[in-house]
Amino acid sequence: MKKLLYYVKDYFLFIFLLLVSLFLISNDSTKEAFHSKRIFFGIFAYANSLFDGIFVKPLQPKTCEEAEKRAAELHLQNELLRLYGLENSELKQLLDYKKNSQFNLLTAEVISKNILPVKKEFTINRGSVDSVKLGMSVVTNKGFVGLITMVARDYSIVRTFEDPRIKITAEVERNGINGLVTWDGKNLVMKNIPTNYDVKNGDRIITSPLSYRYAHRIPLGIVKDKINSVSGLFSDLIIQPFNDLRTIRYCFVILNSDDKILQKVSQSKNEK
Amino acid sequence: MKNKLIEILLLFIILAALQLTLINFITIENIGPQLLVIFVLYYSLKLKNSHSLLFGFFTGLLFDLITGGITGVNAFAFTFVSFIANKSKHKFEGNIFPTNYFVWLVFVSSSVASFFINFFYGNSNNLLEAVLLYGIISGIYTTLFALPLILFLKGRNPNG
Repeated sequence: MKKLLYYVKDYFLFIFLLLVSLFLISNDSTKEAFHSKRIFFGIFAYANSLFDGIFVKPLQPKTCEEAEKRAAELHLQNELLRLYGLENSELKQLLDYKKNSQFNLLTAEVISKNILPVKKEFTINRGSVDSVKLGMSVVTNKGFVGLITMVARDYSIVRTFEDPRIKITAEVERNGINGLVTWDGKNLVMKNIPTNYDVKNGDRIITSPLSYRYAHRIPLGIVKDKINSVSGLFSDLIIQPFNDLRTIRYCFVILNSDDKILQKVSQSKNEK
Repeated sequence: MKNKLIEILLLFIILAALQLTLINFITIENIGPQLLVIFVLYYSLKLKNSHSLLFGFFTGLLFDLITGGITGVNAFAFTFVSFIANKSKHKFEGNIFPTNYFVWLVFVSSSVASFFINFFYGNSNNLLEAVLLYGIISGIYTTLFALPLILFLKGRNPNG
């Protein structure tokens, strides 16, 4: 035994010294050591794969299938929870807005979107049973969305500000300069503002208190650009809307509009 | 014993200095003679088995620390050289120095050491290239540099 130990002692020492060297190499932080580390990692991964087959019982095909199915289920659940999380934060913001708003708001969910360039409309899940009437304004916590143009029993159609048929009487919040805002197919534009009027990029645009059709002082967007006409007398204001219509899932219908004209329009339409 | 230690240390300093200065001028594409391999091989043949392994390891480690390269690479290579020397000791037990065998030993040891050093430094990603170019050619180069020592030892008593 002693003889054997004496015989293998050198081998043990040799292996020990090699391992110490390898340990030193793997702990080296110089740039040149990157290649060595890569080699060690490769050797380790290869050795690990060899021992894995010996010591770790490989998964049976049926277990693999079940595991994959479970993983897919968990993945879907995870996605759903993530969606709920996002929805939750959006709803919280809407609730805050509803609580602090001066209007009587009815919460609605967007159940369909028509994205044709000439007809950008939403369908919401509120109708005449929820006291929704023609001509009511639809908003979110960020600002103006559109106008109710059709009311059924359980749902309504909202014509959004990106529909070219809609015209919004609006004003520059800072100085009350009025104008008509329309969608030109690309941008929301406030047209024919005299060039000498004081309007700057970044000015907020809101629905005008002069309007009989829309709820008053609802934020619409900010001035992004000012384009002068050829004559140089008038300019068009390009407005960056606060709401991104592609991302809206919930909105509010403003119920307490005291506009008499609107009520008349609503009545005549209902009679028809 | 003390004088022997000083002799080894001085020789190491001289050879390390030469390796880091003059040898750099005749090194082509990382292929150059390994003076310290000859040094480690020569003294490993003279020392006891376990001592020679430790000698090889610490010489390499010291050289690593001096050069500031990857710590452990030369220690690894020189431990291998010492191990090869250990396994060849029985050939040096006679009264006449086995010159041919020593030439062969220098060649093998320096090839192995050079291969490991270049491999760890990532000078070659191809194993065959690393063996042929950095191993064998570098081994031949080192053997040529060991010729003065070989001629000096020729015909002498290895245990003297």
